[in-house]
Amino acid sequence: MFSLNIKNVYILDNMSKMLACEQASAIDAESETGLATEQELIFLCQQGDRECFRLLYQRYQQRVRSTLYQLCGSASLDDLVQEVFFKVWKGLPKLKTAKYFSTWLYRISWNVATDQRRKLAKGQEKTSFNEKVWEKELDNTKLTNTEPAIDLMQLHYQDVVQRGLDHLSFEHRAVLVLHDLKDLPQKQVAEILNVPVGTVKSRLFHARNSLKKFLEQQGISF
Amino acid sequence: MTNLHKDQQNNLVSFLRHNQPVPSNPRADLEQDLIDSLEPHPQHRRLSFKVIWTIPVTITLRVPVKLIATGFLVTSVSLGVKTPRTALEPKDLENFLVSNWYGTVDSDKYTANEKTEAYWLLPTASKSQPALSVLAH
Repeated sequence: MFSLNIKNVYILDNMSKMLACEQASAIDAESETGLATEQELIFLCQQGDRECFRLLYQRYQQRVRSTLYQLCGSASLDDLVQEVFFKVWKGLPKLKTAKYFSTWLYRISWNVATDQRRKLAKGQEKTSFNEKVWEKELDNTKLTNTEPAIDLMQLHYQDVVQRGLDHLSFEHRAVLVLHDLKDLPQKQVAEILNVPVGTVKSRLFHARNSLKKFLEQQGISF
Repeated sequence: MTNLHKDQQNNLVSFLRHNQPVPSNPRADLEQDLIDSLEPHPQHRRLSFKVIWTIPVTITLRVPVKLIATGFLVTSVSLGVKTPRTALEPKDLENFLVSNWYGTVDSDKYTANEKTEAYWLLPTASKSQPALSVLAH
């Protein structure tokens, strides 16, 4: 009786392991065709599956990266992205449901960007928001960009927009980036920044006006 | 400050989206570095099969039943002794409900609670709930 139970337990254990492996490989295969759902990935990441976390990283890193870039510039960008995903990995087991994941991810990005901004403000690192660095970044973009179709005019506009974002206060910039560039609804932006929707609307209004003025000074009118 | 018209707003937003700054590519080993340096999630401790099966079956069956019964008795008696019981008149209760019902339909306040980070995440430690008892005549 006793040995039979132990056997059963081992069989069950092996079966569950095999099932988990099959699930992970199925998700790998599905992800190649873009079919793996966010819920499945997050569930397996919560169980500690690193390969699934790799897929999650691949799926979201570009969003996180561009948000951090638009908020903080290129200084320590790789480190910031890594920090965001470390925090995601650590916090994932505490996440209640997958439907909050995207908002939660942006919240972590926002927190990391805020910390970075504080560091910059303290003068620990040289701020990237000056003309020379922007020129360097523009050069880097030119060098690393593999799409030949992007013309010089667009690169110029990208540079102007980035300088325009730098021209805004950090709070206004965050609202504009999340709402206008990342196309998130105002409600979600409010959840990410932990402010009322009214504050988001007000900040968006001021941010747009301020940015429009800046762009007009640069010879771009609407 | 000038107000932006709807058309101007749309033009501005589409211009920004079309020309949003693009970051440079990540360094080649960033992804692998990240995956390599992930620490395993802390797992809940489980007793090994040996430990479980070395405990005699009689103890594992009888002791928990006794403990549960004793615990239940002790808890119910001590709560009954220690919890202050407040007598509420039905009229007082009615007045309280009438004077406070407005707050309950304030949907903004209610939903705001759901949107906080604490709502997304599982609680790390459970808080003890204060005992409440109402006696109505």
